[in-house]
Amino acid sequence: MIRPRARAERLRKPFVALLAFALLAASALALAPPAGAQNEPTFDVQVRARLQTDGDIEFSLRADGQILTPTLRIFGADVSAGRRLVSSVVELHGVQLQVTARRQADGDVEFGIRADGVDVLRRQIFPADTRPNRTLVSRAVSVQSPDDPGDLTIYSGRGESLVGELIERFEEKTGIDVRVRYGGTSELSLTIGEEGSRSPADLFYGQDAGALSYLAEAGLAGPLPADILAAVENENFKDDDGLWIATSGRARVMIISPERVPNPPDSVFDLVDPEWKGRIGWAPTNGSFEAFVTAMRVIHGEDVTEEWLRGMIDNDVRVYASNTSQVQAVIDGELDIGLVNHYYRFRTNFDGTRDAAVNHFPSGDAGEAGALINIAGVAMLDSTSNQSNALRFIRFLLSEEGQTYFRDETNEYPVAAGVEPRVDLPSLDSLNPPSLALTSLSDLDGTVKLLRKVGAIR
Amino acid sequence: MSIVSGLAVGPRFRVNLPGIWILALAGAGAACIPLVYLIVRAIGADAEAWSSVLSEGTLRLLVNTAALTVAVTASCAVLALPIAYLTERTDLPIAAFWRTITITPLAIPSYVGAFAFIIALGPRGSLQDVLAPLGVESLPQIYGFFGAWLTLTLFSFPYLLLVVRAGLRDIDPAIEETARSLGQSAWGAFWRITVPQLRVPIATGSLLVALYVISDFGAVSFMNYETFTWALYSRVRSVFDLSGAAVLSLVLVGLVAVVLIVDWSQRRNARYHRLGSGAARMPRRVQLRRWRWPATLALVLLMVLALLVPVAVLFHWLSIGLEQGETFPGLWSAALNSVYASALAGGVTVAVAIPIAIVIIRRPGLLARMVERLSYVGYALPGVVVAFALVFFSLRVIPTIYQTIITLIFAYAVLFLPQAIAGLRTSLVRIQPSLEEASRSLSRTPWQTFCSVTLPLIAPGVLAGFALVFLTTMKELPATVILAPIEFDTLATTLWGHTEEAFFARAAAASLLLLACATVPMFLLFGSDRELRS
Repeated sequence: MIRPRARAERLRKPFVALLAFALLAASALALAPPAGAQNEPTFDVQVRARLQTDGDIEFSLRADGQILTPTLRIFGADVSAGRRLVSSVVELHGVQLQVTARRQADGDVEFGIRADGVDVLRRQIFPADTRPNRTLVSRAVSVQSPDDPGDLTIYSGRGESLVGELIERFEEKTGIDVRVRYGGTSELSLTIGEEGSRSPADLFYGQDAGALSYLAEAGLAGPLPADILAAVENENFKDDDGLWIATSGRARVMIISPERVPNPPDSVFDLVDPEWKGRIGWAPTNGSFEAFVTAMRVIHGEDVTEEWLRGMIDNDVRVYASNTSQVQAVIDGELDIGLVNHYYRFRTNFDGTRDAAVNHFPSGDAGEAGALINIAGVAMLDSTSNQSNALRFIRFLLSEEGQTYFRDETNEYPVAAGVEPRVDLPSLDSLNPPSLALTSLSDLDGTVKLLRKVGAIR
Repeated sequence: MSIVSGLAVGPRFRVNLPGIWILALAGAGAACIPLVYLIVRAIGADAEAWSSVLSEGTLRLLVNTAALTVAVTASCAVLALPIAYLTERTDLPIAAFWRTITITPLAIPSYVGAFAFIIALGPRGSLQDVLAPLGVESLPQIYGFFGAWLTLTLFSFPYLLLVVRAGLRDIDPAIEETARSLGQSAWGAFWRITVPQLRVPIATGSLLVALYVISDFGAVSFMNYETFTWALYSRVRSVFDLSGAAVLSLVLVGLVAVVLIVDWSQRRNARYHRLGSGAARMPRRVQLRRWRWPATLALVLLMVLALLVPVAVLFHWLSIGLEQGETFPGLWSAALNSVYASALAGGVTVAVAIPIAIVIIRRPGLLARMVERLSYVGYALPGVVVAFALVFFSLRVIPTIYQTIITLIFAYAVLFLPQAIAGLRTSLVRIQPSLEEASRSLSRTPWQTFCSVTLPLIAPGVLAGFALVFLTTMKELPATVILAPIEFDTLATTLWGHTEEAFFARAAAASLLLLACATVPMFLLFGSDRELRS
């Protein structure tokens, strides 16, 4: 009759382990530092000035251990005495910093720092007889950050590994505490749909025009100001009513082996020729591929698309799980031509020569499905009480810095006027993407049905 | 069989726990929130959504889903029953190790497992590379029914295993010994005595597997096998149609109701606890003799497929990443968040499940039956539907807790309540009410009796329930993405984010860490909790 007691004792051990484990977990979390960037109340700034060999003076700023270089930062040798010049703005911790400089009558240059329009440092002297290439550094001046630049809550359908660094840069610049919820583009847009006007989000950042236009149609996206809408010229890359705007683009391309394919096909429609039998690949379950097939259905019709799909299958198209695996297969010599997005080549690590796989933009596809450009973009929530920070973030994405980031870091197409794509990519204009509203690509259901019908997916 | 039901004599004494019904009804009520949400949303659906549900495609989806569910559940039972017996009742070498390691496949998310199988066993996968010198140019297609079945079987049989094993531990070996003394062979005793006694655990565990299969999206999407949940996700993703998705979900609820009715008709009102004086003692270990090594080999083969293949693929990716100097930011805090949230979810869910389990076992009747069935609703629905339901609910009822750890743990409890109940009931069903009566007669209050007698007795069930919820929470994705406090990254969300952006080395690191975080507590809980001598 004492069995239960004995049993209880036997089981005490795992219970203690369980309890200890839970306590450990709880205390570890309690000790973890709170998330979110804390804004520095004050920080030190210095001006650096360097005399170039041509007599111009190049100014930059140093703060927080980093060098900040304004876009306009050269004080020309030919600037006449008495004229005061101001550099372009660099932002740090929410303060707009500028360098001011004026040539004195004696030829020396006096310079200083302007923070949020106020001169906080004056009369630093750069002597006229300084040797070229010498860098002088001013004394440090303490600058006060704005009391509370506020925060910003973003629901991002774009991954942290893609845009996390860019968002950090924005935080650094503005001092705004940005909090991001990362997730799937469609799941997060639907979450906002379910939250309605109670949504904690200020901004939605997604990588699919469909999700953006869902928010617009649900009445949850707020109107964007004219200056933001004007930054992107292509009408297909923004909402007709100005409720969302693209921030970067990705192009459909063929990834080919130039060695094995000296004369690449002129159009995706040529891939059904016997010449390419057994040499072509696709990833039929990939979202970008499905968007491309949807575009083909919209532009060329159901019958042409079905015929093309069947032609590809009859041509022994090889099935891959992803874009990455196609690029790898071309490098490995397993595949000659794959259908992918343009940036996968740049994300793949090449063991040998980078010529093993190159992007091919088939000229015959101009204006057609084969030249499709899909976008990532943003919408500001209509319910946000945080408009100014949300708009500031959108302006940042469309600024030269943001667009350059997309070009160099995520290898996407910049979409705002003034920033050119990578030098090894053709310009957006010469690509001539089909002029269809990206939101017309929402019939994914029909595409999946078609792919299933022809046996491209099971 | 007759021996088992022969035990049931006389009326059951009831130890009345005050407030037990309130607690049980509250728990079941919480689990019903998704159902209420679906009905609200479906009412707003247009006629087109309803007519598309009644189309021919829906019938095919139902057939596909049913076929996969039946096949996976059956094969999981075929795997789990012998493994449970081997690790609990025989002199299998290093049984403690096998006890733990056979549960770990549960910590591999089905999408990771499916992806690994495609890489390893696909038509031109690693296995084909190995077989290429033998003239094998291409392996048969893994996509479709076969791949989905294989993945789901290998990564969900531990659900059944955990429950069956907890049940097996609680069986009074005296009945088997009586059967042996009456001339039954060891096999005869197993089939005629042990298996029928395991009826409740097998049914409960099978239900867990079946409903998991119905709600899984990861494996079926990678394997391109069109099930109901697959169609629901693609509807949500492509047409952004919440009402249509709600209508489809309600059809899914109907399917689940059918499964629950089938399950119910399988259960009898048998009693499995001991009557009269005496208590169960440790069972004798069955000598495996010449079956020792074949049994070990079978386990090794199974674990190669269910654990080694995915782990090898993950290590392969990780090593590629390390070679290229890849960094892995944020992994440790994600691991900490995962363990913290999963441990909390395990504890809370078991606590919510205890009153429900007591009501089911001790107060059988229509109301108890309703409470039990309703508690399955959240578990059987795709995670994204439950997440949307809780967005809807918490923002309207208690907006201040929206997207805090409280909502998140609440969501986990709604999602995984049946797992905790399953773990508990197999233990609870074996407790002799007379023990509790004795405690009451010694002037303990009902709740004192519960704490000092009942709770220690159902400890194996508590552990099994905790382990099930802990492991499943570790890999949960949709509810975590939508409901976690902002910037509360877990290993599952990190893993998913990196997979989505094709940073496979980082994804592999997160997967492996997830596996480690899940395995270590399992070793603590199951590695050494019981030493048996034959």
